[in-house]
Amino acid sequence: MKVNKDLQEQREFDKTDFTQADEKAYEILFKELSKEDELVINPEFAPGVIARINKKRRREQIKENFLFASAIILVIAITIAGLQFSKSILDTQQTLFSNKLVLPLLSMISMIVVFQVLDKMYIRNRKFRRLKEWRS
Amino acid sequence: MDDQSLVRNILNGNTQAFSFLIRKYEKLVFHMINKLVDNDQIIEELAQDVFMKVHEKLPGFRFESKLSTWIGTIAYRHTINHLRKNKKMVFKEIEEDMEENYFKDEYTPAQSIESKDVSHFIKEHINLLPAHYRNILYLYHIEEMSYPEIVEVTQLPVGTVKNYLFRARKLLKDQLSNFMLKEELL
Repeated sequence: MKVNKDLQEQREFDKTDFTQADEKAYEILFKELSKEDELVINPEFAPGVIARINKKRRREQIKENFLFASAIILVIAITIAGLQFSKSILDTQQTLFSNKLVLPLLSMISMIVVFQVLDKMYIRNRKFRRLKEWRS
Repeated sequence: MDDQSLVRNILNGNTQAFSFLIRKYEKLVFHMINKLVDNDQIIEELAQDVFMKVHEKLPGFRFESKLSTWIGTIAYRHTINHLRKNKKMVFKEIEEDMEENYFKDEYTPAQSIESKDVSHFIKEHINLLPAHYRNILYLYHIEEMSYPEIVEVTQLPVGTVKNYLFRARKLLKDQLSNFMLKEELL
């Protein structure tokens, strides 16, 4: 029984033999200690927490959309810059036939790499998580 | 609903399930914070923060301990951090020679005779104990946590946990014995 175990442990700690009065006092004490205090919790507490979670989720969604839009703008900007750079090189070095193919190709590859990195770092996991939440 | 299905439902985005979890464990969280903080408004704010953290960290919960122990740990640490940040709690070993002062200033013999009953008398004396004592008494006697679980929640060594528990009970028992003796004399 838990009371006996508690009494035994307490006896070992107190390092004294309990009198009957001690034992009675401890028994009363253990009984009282296992009674829970009354606690009034606002009934709106749980809905309040849920509202805070939804608000946080909305904020995160806005942030994700902003990052997604920024990533697309950045990719477009890099592509345009890459194309302009390759055009300027092609204008000055007419003999380099291969540049007509290589430079636009490099721009495209760098664009894809930048997009993949941004997508993996900031977007994909969260988008999938949100999609999963939405589906359920 | 058992805790595993509850967590699974929450992780699948079920808001109702999280609402259920809050209702299931709000008493534990409020009691734990209540043992360390005495301002009702701050208690509610801290409890809200605790459940926000629970929601945030739930995907990483692997059922290596009971859900109640895990939530209790978050509640305890968050409250302690709050108190540390606001410099309202000084962490030091509770000295035994200070113990006789716990009941000295705030509870006079006259008041103790006026106490309505044993239950009331004990409750008032528990409130005069240091926060760590109160908390460990609560976790052991009300939440019925084992020593390892209390160690996990409070991050105190098992020896300290036992020491605080036994010392708190001895202090209360001594006061109770005096009270009962007076009752018999009256």
